[in-house]
Amino acid sequence: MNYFTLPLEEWTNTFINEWLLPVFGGFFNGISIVLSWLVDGVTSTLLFIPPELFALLIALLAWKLSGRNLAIFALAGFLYIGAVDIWIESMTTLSIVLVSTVVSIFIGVPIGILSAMNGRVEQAVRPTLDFMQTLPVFIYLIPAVLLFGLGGVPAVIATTIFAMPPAVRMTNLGIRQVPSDIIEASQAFGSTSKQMLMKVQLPLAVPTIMAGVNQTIMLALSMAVVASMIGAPGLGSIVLSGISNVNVGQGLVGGLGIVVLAIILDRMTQGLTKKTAV
Amino acid sequence: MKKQHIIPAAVLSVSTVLAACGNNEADQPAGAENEAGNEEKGELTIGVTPWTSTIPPTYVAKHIFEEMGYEVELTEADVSTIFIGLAGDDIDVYMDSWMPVHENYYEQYSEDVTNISTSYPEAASGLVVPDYVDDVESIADLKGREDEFGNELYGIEEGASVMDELRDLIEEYELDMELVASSEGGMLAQAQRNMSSGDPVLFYGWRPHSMFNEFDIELLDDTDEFFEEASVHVMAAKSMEESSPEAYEFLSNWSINIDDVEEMIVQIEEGEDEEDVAAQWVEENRDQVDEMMGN
Repeated sequence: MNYFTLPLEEWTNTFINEWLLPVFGGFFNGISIVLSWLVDGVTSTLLFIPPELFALLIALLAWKLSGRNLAIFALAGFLYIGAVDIWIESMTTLSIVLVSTVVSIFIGVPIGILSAMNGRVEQAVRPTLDFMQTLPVFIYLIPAVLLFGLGGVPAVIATTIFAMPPAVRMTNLGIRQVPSDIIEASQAFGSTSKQMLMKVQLPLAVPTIMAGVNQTIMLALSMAVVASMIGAPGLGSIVLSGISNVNVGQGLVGGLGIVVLAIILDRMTQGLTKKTAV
Repeated sequence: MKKQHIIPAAVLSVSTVLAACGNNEADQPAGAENEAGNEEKGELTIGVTPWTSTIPPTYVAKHIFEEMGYEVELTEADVSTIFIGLAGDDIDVYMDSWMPVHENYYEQYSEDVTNISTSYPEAASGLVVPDYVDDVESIADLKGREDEFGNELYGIEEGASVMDELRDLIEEYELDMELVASSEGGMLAQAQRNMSSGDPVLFYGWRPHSMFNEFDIELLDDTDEFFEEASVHVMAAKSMEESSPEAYEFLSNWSINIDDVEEMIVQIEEGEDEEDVAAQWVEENRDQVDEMMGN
């Protein structure tokens, strides 16, 4: 099948080494500094709160958003995290997940709105999202390091690429799903398209958008282990170390920590989704 | 039933290749070799880790095993998975086991896995800086200049025993540095990033590795002999001694020159085919190969 040679490998390497890095190195450095300041800030805030207080606050929040069962689970989960001595790692992972989720929402929701308003934008966005979701993660780990250096920052970037698509898709879907009779009614009352978006379409789309946010958080957590290969500290690093030493126990200790965080975050955002739907 | 038809066919094709190569065994007709009991020598699986240093010895061994009449399969996996495979007989040979880096795996599985030979001793490893970093010749020179390197030392994956060594090193030399764990690729990408902007960078390096050809870097003097001299070993499943005695005998005689390995790594990175590079080495070192094969 090789009718012609496609030097994709050389092109990409030349592009990155001779153009992207020298020309935009400073720009990426700037992003890197801002993001690492953000990740470090969130991590040290989370670690500043005494673990007992943090567990109680989350349990209360869980009670409010979801119910008593989740509150009990959250307390038990944090007791586990404390008992196996992975508190710092859990908070580090949580902070990378939170920052990635916030970045994903900040970029994803506006793109979702744009593609709901404009068919052409959607046509361009959809294959891009497919590409982002199916391209194996390992491929953009190394370029992420080249551009942003090792540590939490490339992890946030790689996680964002992987976790943003649901935020875009669900925002788009949520706005498009607003019933046309409601749209017509608000048009009849003379609403401008800005009013329509802010006061009709977005509020009605919130439950769907929240479902997208929930998906984004889950995908972000699932990147934790992979991200530790590019120097992201946290639970993933415990798991990776366990795997590479054939230390099954250590792998499970870190893995269960991820599960605890995932269940709490998942049920809480689901609860929030239900609350916004009412 | 089907398998029995395939194996003699494979042996036949291997012996044809042998005849074509014109080596000293080829004076026997292919048929006679089959009668001599060379058929159905069976299959060998070599475990391959995704490191540059694994490829040349693996392909050289594959080439020689095939000359001997084995069918060879390569299985790519992580080093811990390869040791599990060796212990469980899913993998027969692993050509690139680094000691003392892999000591922990070997200890865990030494009941079923044997450290059959030393591929090459004296594989240097230690801390590496770019050539353009002035006046840093040894590890001790780093003291007081940690901030130039961003107070970071880049290592490989968390859990590798060298990472503990690096932590001990930081403590012993009282360096104000943080060890950043990632992976071989992650570490080299970070090093490349710093070098592209001309910034100092400190990371863990070892030979044989193409990084010494690709970048202008130097290994820092390790005056206190902090890093144990590494050596590269061949690991074999103990069951091989019975199931594939000839291959086992060959492996126990195996050794290769570290410079040859590094040269092959460069050739492969420049785009040459692994099989060709290995075949060429075997041709050039036919005497050594014959000796290892016990001829």
